[in-house]
Amino acid sequence: CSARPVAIQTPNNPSVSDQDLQQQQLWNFAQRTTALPFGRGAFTLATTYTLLTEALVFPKLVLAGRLPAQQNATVNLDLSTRSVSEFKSWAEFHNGVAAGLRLAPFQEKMLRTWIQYNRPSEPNFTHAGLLLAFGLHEHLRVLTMTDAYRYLSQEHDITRLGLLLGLAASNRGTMHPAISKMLYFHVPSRHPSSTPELELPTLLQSAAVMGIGLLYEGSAHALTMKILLGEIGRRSGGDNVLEREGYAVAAGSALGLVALGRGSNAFGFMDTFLDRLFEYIGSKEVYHEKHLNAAIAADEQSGNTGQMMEGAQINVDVTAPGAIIALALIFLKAESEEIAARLSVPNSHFDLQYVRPDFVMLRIVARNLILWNRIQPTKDWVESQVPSFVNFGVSNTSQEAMDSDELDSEALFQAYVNIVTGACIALGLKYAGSRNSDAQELLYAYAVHFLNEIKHISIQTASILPKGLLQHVDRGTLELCLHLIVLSLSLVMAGSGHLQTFRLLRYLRGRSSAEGQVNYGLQMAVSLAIGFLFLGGGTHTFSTSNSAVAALLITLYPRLPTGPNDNRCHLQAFRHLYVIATEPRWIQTVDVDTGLPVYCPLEVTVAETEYYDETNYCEVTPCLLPERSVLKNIRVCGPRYWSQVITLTPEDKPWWKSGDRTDPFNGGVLYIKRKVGSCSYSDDPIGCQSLLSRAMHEVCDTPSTSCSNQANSATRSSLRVDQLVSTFSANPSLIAFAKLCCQSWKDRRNGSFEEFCSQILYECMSKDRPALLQVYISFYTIIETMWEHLKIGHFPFSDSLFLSSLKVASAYNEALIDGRITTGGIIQSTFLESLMKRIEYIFAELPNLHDSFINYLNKGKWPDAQNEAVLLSWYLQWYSIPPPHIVSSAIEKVKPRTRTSLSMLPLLRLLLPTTHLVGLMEIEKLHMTHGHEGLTLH
Amino acid sequence: MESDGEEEAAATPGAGGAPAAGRLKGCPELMVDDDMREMAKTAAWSVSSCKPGNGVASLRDDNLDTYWQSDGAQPHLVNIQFQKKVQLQLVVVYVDFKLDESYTPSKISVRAGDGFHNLKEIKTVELSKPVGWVHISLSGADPRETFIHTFMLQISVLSNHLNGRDTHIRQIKIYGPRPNHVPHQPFHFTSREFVTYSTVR
Repeated sequence: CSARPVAIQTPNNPSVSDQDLQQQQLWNFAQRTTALPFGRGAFTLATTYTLLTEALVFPKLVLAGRLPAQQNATVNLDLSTRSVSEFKSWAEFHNGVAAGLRLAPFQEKMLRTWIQYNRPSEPNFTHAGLLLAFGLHEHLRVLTMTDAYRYLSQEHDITRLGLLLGLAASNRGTMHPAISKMLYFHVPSRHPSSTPELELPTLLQSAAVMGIGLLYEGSAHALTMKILLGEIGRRSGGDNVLEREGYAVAAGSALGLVALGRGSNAFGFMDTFLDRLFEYIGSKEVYHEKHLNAAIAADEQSGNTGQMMEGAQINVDVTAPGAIIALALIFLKAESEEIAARLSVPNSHFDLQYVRPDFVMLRIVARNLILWNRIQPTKDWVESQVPSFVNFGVSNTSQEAMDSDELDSEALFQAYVNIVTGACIALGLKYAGSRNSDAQELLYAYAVHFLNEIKHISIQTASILPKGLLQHVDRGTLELCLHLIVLSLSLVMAGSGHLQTFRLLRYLRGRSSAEGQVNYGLQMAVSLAIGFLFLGGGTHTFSTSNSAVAALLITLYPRLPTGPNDNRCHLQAFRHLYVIATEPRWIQTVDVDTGLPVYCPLEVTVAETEYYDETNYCEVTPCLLPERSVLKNIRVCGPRYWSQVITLTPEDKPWWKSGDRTDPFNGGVLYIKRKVGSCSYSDDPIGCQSLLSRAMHEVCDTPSTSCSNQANSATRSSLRVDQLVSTFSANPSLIAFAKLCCQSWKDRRNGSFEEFCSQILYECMSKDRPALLQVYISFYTIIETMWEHLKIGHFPFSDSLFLSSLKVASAYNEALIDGRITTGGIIQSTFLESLMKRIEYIFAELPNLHDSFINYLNKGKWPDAQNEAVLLSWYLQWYSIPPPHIVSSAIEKVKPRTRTSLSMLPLLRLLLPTTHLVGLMEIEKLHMTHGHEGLTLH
Repeated sequence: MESDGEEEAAATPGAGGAPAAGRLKGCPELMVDDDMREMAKTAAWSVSSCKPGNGVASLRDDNLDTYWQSDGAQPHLVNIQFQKKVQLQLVVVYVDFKLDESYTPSKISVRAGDGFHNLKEIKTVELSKPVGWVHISLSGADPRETFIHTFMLQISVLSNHLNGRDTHIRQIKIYGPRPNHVPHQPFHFTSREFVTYSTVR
């Protein structure tokens, strides 16, 4: 977007005034174009890889315009009429940062030679930005001190700035002595008194001081803390007096980083230290004036250039922001009531005169970072941040008008909007990367209300802010508050690409030409917010660890620049430190068979916290996971993929880096196995289980409903079955069987067998048991062959072993029904039961079989006909009837014990335990009918 | 004769209230109402640039022979940051065209705000060969707006006479109303005895 000229709308008759209008539009667009690299860096974070033999490519920054009405003629922005020197310099720096951030971390260390390879012959802003980006990616560890000094010797201030910050970011928390020495070289107050005075720009000093903070992060190094404390309030010695404010902010941030989250443990000399910090903030209480006067005397001796005259008091305008940030970071999440009370918001009209409105905002942010656990994403919580006298004041403006000479209503409204905005920033930092819906809705509501106030839109619904803000607060303040809230909102929704938020951001980005002057700072905020919303192309999000909160606070420092080259209040390079807070918490599921990414539902379990119970919720991959400190369980769920469970122990550690072997997510890839009979969600989003069933039944019904002579219908149905099987299953047996069935169905000889085959195909596919296909076919074939034997007299079997197989299956089924087998059935019970019924039906319907059985038992004689002999053998085998002599013996034993009226069945059961009940009944019946013959024989 | 001179001098601040009415010339004497006091004794003063030996201290030393001389690009800025929010009513600068000629400011803008980031222009005046004290009133058109509430004031020298590059200013004083000792009371006492007993201690 920054590499192409922007379209300019002009009337059809150009004139001199139109050219001025064009230049004004180009100037406005240039503010936006120069801010684009901020967002691009976040958007494309770690999304590309490069070969070590390739040079890095930088998108162009084109400030020219395009005239669609005049055949896309190009108009260049005329900078000579503006008193702006090197307008594009810092934009090129940010462009270099964006290009460097784009490179994904290497699996192995990036080679030094590649960095040297990309080093330009002449130092420039772009390469300086590249060095900072590499530092934020921790690549600069491979640079040797010789490499560093070679860069320093180029005497290009911005290159040194990028190098110092980059080296410090790459070695965060290590206190590397050589880098420390290099950084302190750029802090003039640390030079020995004999050193000749070096001219060091304030920008470079700010970068060096922030670098010291990064290098000593979390160390609570006592000497460093004292040095940085002094730097916050150091009197001017440099050549750029008016950038002292940014320097003090850098020193305060650095001090906060050194003692990050340490709270009271940070110092053994806490009282003196804290009193000094509160003096910088502007506390009404005054301590240790002697010490202060001594410090002032020392500063004045160091050479007053005559540009400043501050008297004996601290210039709170310069020192307060840095001191407030230092306290916020030192006591981050410490829940220290004492410190929060001393950082109080003014609670009376008199006190309000002593605190600037923007300092009120900083105090709100700071005290809520200290009381971290009390931040709640509710409107009540935000309102609780507002002192009652401010609430009363903004709610009763008409009454206040009477006393306008005495009470400053503007101060009340200024305080109100700054307090609300500070609370929103605290919410953004607390819920960064969480996509918490309560926080999102609340921040969105506040942003929309501020926007409506700026646009003078009256709201019919109940509003969450008092109306008519613009009458009491200047528009610049409202714009700043709106954009800070929008940035906070994008922190919460980082990496999600949330559509509602994106719509708001696109509106803010494009409304400039219609609604007035474009402000570079506001465009920078919008650009960063869009970049955060799509962080890393949706693969990254923000952490809320101490380091992350510190980095985000420095990035969001609520004082935006007025132009591309404005570094007065906050060095623009510091806006890129958000990279420290990013984590690649993205996960995608890959089908282990196809190797392709697929959608899949995941059940995520978040551990219990002080304010929330343990929570389960569903996500669909690819998605972002919660922080490691609360992530407890991840389970692949849903009916289509085999379940997988990854159990973790929540702990306060950063997310796994790329290539970390302990990473349970393999750098964001989870392999899953699809169940047979299921489609991937991209192929069939609605649900394929019922689709398979419906499709198969539809195919099965076709032959019976259509006329037998309709060949087209048969062809369609057979193709459908073939395709269905191929679609839902990869098993070659099933696919081959389906094709064979389709061919045979064209002949249409065996309708019932056709139907049976369709059903067992469905069964084998849905249960993912292709081996059962043969079992089902085998059972079916046995029964069919028995029938065929009876009708035709064909003798396929020479024995009765097949009946034994059937009896084993029957026993298995009974065990299933009785509950003796509890692991679930393999073959359907109804199928097995129907098999047994068919066999018994066969035996019951044969008249000759009965006579053969009688002869066999009475005379021990086999039938003469082979057909009848085979049938009898089946019968005896099926019902396990013993030889005739055993049967006679049993009857003889039973006979004396029973009377004529009672049944012999229970006793026979005892004597012939292996005989089937049906067989026993037949034996009893035979005895009752032919009893006299038995007696005669005996 | 002397009385006529005083009347003419007193009329000058009124003329300053309307920039279109003409250019300011200054008057030899510093004339301020009794109900105003100088506000910037404890403020933090800074200038955008200065020649060595002619720094910001020269603006506040009550010595008309010393002056601040700028040494950088225009506009030349004098920044005054107050310890608290103050009510300001009048800015008085001492310039001398006879001595300083092309170093004498010809156009001065006064801005106010919370800090450098949100300064808004309050008034712009043009000077015509001024000699002596130039009174710049900060009141607005509304009679109730007799003063401004601000944390910071910035005096910007936009241009000099004869297109001079650098500027000389010999003194700057900033006046605001004396605070009312008894809030919400429509009048206030002036004698020491009455003020002493005006509130319950």
